Amino acid sequence: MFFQQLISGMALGSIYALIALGFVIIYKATEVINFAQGELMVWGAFIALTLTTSMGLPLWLSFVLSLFFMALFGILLEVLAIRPLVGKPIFSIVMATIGLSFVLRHLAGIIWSYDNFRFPSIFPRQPFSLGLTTIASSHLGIICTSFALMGLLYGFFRFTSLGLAMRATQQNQLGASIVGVGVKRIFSLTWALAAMLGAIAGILIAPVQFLNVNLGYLGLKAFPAAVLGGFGSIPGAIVGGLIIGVSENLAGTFLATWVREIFAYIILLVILMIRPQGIFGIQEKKRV
Amino acid sequence: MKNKGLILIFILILFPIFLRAPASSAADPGVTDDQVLVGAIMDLTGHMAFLGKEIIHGAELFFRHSNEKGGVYGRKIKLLVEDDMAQFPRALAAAKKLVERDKVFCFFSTLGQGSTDTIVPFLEKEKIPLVAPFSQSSALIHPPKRYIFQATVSTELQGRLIIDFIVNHLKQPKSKIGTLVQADIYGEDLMKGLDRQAKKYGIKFVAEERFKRGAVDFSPQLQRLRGAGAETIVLCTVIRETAAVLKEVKNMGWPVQVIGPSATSDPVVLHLAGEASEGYISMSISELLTSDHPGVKLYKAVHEKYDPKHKIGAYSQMGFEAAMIFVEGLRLAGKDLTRESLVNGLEKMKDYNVMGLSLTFGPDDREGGTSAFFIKGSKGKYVPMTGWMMVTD
Amino acid sequence: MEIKTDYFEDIKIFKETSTLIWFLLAMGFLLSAPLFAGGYVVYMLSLTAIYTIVSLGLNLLSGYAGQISLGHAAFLAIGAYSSAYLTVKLGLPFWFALPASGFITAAAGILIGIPALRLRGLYLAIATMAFAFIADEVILNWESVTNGANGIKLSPPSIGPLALDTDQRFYYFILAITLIMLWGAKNIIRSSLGRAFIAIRDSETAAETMGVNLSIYKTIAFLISAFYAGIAGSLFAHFIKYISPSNFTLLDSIGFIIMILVGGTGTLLGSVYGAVFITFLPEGIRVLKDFFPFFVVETGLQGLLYGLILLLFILFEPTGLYGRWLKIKRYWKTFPLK
Repeated sequence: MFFQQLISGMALGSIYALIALGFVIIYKATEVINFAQGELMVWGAFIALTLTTSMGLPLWLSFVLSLFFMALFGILLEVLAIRPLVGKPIFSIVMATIGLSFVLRHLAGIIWSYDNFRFPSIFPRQPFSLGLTTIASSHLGIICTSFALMGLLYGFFRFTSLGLAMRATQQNQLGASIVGVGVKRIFSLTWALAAMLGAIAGILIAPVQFLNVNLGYLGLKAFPAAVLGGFGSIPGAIVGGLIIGVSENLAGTFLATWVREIFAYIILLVILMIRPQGIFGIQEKKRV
Repeated sequence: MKNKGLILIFILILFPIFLRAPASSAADPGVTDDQVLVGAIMDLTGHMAFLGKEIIHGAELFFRHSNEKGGVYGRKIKLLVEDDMAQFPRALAAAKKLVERDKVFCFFSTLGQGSTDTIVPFLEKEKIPLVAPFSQSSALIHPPKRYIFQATVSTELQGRLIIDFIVNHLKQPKSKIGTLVQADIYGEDLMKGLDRQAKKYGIKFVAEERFKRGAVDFSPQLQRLRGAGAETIVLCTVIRETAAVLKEVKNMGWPVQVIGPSATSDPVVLHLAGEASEGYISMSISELLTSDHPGVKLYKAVHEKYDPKHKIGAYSQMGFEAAMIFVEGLRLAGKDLTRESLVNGLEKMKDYNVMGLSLTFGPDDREGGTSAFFIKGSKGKYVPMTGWMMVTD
Repeated sequence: MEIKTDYFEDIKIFKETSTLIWFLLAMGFLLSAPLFAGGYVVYMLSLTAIYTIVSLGLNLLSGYAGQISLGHAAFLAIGAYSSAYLTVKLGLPFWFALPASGFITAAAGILIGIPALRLRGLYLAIATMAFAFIADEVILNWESVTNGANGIKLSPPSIGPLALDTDQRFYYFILAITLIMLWGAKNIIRSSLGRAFIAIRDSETAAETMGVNLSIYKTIAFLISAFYAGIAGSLFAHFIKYISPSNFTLLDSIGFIIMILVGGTGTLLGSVYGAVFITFLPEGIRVLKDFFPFFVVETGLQGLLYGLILLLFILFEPTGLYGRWLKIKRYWKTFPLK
């Protein structure tokens, strides 16, 4: 039982990690907190579903196309709604992206309705036997896919020139623009990347939990994950997400059920009290 | 100019609220020689929106059918639906608006125990009848309230029936039963009924688990139920949670028997759960859409006639059924229609059977339905398992 | 027009005579409303008044003192449940429960305020959000006090021999309480406390160097803000007469923030505007539906509008409705010079 909970916790945690990742790369590049990351996940999944069911496209094609659409959608959002926010006080940015999340959620509800939908799974349905315990294949699949994705991202940031440009912008916008990086373009591309990450997270989680427009609430769990790992740290987001996912599950199993709902937030508060910079973060200096 | 425009918009939005609707001269508002104005408060945009829209859809189908046949004593029914967005203060605001500005005669259907509970004191004070609220809460009818007629089977009664079913029909009085209920009144109501009947048979539950409404992952609770040795699980869920539980049980490779209340009798549950739905038993309080019952046939016919593109479903069937009960109440009220005559008329309803459920009210009885039957998920469809049964005391 | 030449001018309650006139007009309207408008309108006005109190408290905390609170619905809940528990379970009279709820919630405010001292900006926002989720779950599960998901039903309250059992009577009572809270807030703003808040908001480090004790003043801000929410919560509980955990969700907290943002952060009148806006917008849509039947509300239009309004106000009208009102006044004042 412990092992099963561990695996399912890691699966959920990988999803948190993916959402937190999207969230952190946006923050690092633009200092904007994206409360709408969960909604990007929902949109990605819905687009994939529509392509599959209404247009009858094969699964893999719908997924690829939905990634493509979401990338464009991310750029659109950035240009229309986010760029005007750069430089505004943090309160405004937070509330603006919260507003954006409302808009996206209800727009999705208007377009696709608020009903629950079954989402096709790319993983086989039979449970996977591992000795004495059985684990859901989808859980295992999510974990493997997420790790593969993170590996890809690592390679992207480390070895491609675009990745390098993004990292430069994240570290120092002024410096990056001086050496010739198109900072505005990077902003758009960062959102495109985050939207794609969201879409992948959506496609992975929707088969497990049924797709409906309120799935975006999962995105709120990205905050404890990002804070735990250290705000602005990419490996932190991943580690944070996994830890939150696993401990939520274990807490729900071995403590009371209702503790599970808030365990992530309890962890969040504890971290903020004892080590606000999280596991990998750096202590920020105060300036007047 | 920006400033003037903004002021104008503001006034435009606020002003109509302050207009006083003209006073009506009828003895009871909302009734004329050719029309009855009826109010409904539903969740149309909140978390139960999918239920609300379906129920209203079904109800409006029947009202249209009845109106086109000339109405009741020549009066056609006009339904005014307000959205409460699943927030109680809004439900109360909607109720006040419908009573004061729209001058409705009575209320037909509200959705959700919370919204219903919020407006009931108001309706009682104003002596306005509410027929067929979509709340199966037993508190609504125990003690009975003069103006509130619950035309369904209360959750508590359903709990009792489920235990009866396990003992008498499945003949498994020694089955190890575990419960998994929603952590709110709905779940507690069912537990009340389950507990009461379990005590009668000397049954003790091996484990009692709860979950928060909206939860999507039940593995901790199910693991614990399995650990406690449960052979049968009784659920108190609605649609999505039921499907999630069934899928998880299948993932666990656990051949446990799962039983749920009437709210899970919508075939959408089977559709969402896919193959995991095989063998799931649900209680039903209206005949299946595949049956030959005249009420079901009428529902399908009317549906085909007026809105063939819409998919038929259990919840719109429920709305249709509630509308039929309401219209029958209007008929029993007599040609001289007042709120009191509606109450008196409804009290005379006895064994009125529209979709299989037999409805009876009386001078102190506002319960409506006291029987149900059981259906089983088989190859993605529900099939009947038992006939209609009543609870054994 | 806006130049003040001595201290007493700066702290005047009504800075200009025009404000006083508007205020008297509004009071006249509000006091006579039950006479010409129906119970529906009185109900909406009462609800608005309650939300105004919440808005005032939140504005003091977030608008003036700059401490972001994304979980204010939790304070409202504490106030509501305290009052319900005191009156229903302990049988204490309403005139005691109302201020007591305020104090109980204020105590909770201190409890939150102290850990919050170390957090700034985004971290504070996330922490308050976490607090809201936790409070929500605790309310759901602490059944001996809150009745869990069942909620608590309340009966109409009475103050001594006067029973507040009609909509009208309760309306006047709420109006009176709201005015008192408004007066209190105005006095806080124009006192050294208010100035300390504004200093903290504008720059904590600078305020500290000027001698403003951050810990004390931030805690006071939370305390006062929670007190307001507690009073509002008690009124809310006795007004709607049925409370349950679903009245106090994250959505409601966001709704409160929308109130102060749309109305105008850091302004008192803005709090009022915001409350009016939040209360009347859905009702306005509802009523407009009667005049324009194509305005279909059944498809999530309201949630969409909330989000759009939030976004648009932040992008284009960051000073809120109050700011727009100021600009309008300035337009008229300087006409035709523009």
